[in-house]
Amino acid sequence: VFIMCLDDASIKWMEVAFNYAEHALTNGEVPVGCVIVFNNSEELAVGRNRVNELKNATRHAELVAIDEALEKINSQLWRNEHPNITDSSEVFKNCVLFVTVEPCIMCCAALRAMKIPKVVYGCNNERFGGCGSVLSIHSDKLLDSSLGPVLSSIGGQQTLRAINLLKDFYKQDNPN
Amino acid sequence: WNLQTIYGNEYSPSKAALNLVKSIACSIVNKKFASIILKCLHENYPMTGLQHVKRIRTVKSTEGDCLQVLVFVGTKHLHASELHVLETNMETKKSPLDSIQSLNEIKEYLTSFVPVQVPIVPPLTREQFEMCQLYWPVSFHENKAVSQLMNCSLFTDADYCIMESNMKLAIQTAAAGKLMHPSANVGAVVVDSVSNSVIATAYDLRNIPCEINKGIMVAHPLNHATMVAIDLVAYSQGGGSYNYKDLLKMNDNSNYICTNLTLYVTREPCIMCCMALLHSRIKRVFYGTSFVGGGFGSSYKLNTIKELNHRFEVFQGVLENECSRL
Ligand SMILES: [Zn+2]
Ligand SMILES: [Zn+2]
Repeated sequence: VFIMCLDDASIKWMEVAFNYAEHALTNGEVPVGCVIVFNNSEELAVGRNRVNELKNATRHAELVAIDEALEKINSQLWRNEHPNITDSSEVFKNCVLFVTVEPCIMCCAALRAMKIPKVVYGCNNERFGGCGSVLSIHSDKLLDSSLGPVLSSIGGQQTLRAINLLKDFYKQDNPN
Repeated sequence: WNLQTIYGNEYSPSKAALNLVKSIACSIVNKKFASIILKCLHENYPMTGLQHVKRIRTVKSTEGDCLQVLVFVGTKHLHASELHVLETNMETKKSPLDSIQSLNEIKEYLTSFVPVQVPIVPPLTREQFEMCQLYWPVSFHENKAVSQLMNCSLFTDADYCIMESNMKLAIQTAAAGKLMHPSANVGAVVVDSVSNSVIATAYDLRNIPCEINKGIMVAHPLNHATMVAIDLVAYSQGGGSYNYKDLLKMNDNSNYICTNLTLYVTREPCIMCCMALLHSRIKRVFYGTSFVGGGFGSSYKLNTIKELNHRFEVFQGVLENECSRL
């Protein structure tokens, strides 16, 4: 398996994502964490699983981060800091998502719908993965019209660390 | 309108679902040798795992009926290279069994070798069974539940009335959304599968702002009608992500996630929404009209994928014309 080596900045972003995955674990959620990075430099939003807390099975780290990003982009403070940006869709086109586990089929579709062009992730998601593990939603060109542009993906970053977090979670006695 | 089941490809009446495999059959020179031939074949080339395939068939011809026996099932009994050698032998009119020692005692009773195609997957439906018979005879044990699901006969007239009234509510919900924004032309209704009580009604909020955090109103690009409906179900259980204020209403519900709930949605959900329903363990989905790129039949059939941890029933076509006019 070819694993692309990340630059120092990307390694730092993966670290941020892992911090949020750990945060999820201590809050009794499946430990997946992520960060959306704007223009290769700005931490736009972070997210971690909130499924149990919100009683909504769709509240995966990626969707939680997208909510936070939208909230931020629409705040007066952020607008003042970025006076040249008028349309929030312009922001997502210049973002990369770093996430500890391969996005699921739902989240891959959501990333495409948000026009986020790239995802970097840790371990594969053998149960639900949409970047190739179960289906290849990220690259299916036939979904261009219904979802949005294809999503480039780089997996295999700190795989063991991501897996061990998941193992820690499933070792606990969790009803889900 | 016509109800159609969105079923897995393994149920489809297509050649691919039958999984036809190149095989070799031959005629028996005299019926009295049939039992010794079958015994010898059974010992050397058993039909383990192919119990539905009949070993012998009657071929009618003007010179009278003759018995044809299945000697080999390709992939089961032969490597591709072996099959190729036998086929070449058949073409050059040599006996294809010359090189096969184990069938020595029955060789002289066998003649007229022909290539045949054998369905190695047992037929799941009557249609598949009838297709199989065109290639090689098989047995068929009808699964009543599958048949009823496939031809939608599991529903009574009363069920159809319930479907119509729930879909009408979904259409009304979409119409209410369109008044807010012309693009909000999809409506979704979540009902309790048993009591049929309405848990949530939702329309598309992609272009209609709702409060995603205190004081921050955003038209959320991912707030498709189905996603909103799922969040309203969560809200009815004390969870939920957003505040829809007066946009939409929800009722009390004691279910955990969407187990035991049925969704009515005017248009086939997209991949994201279909997978969201799967994560939510929805029990059943009825939709009106298809949608290019939809995940319940148009591009994928996410409700039927064996690798995923939840499979559920999806039906298309409820009030299809009314839904497509939205
Ligand atoms: Zn996900
Ligand atoms: Zn959708």
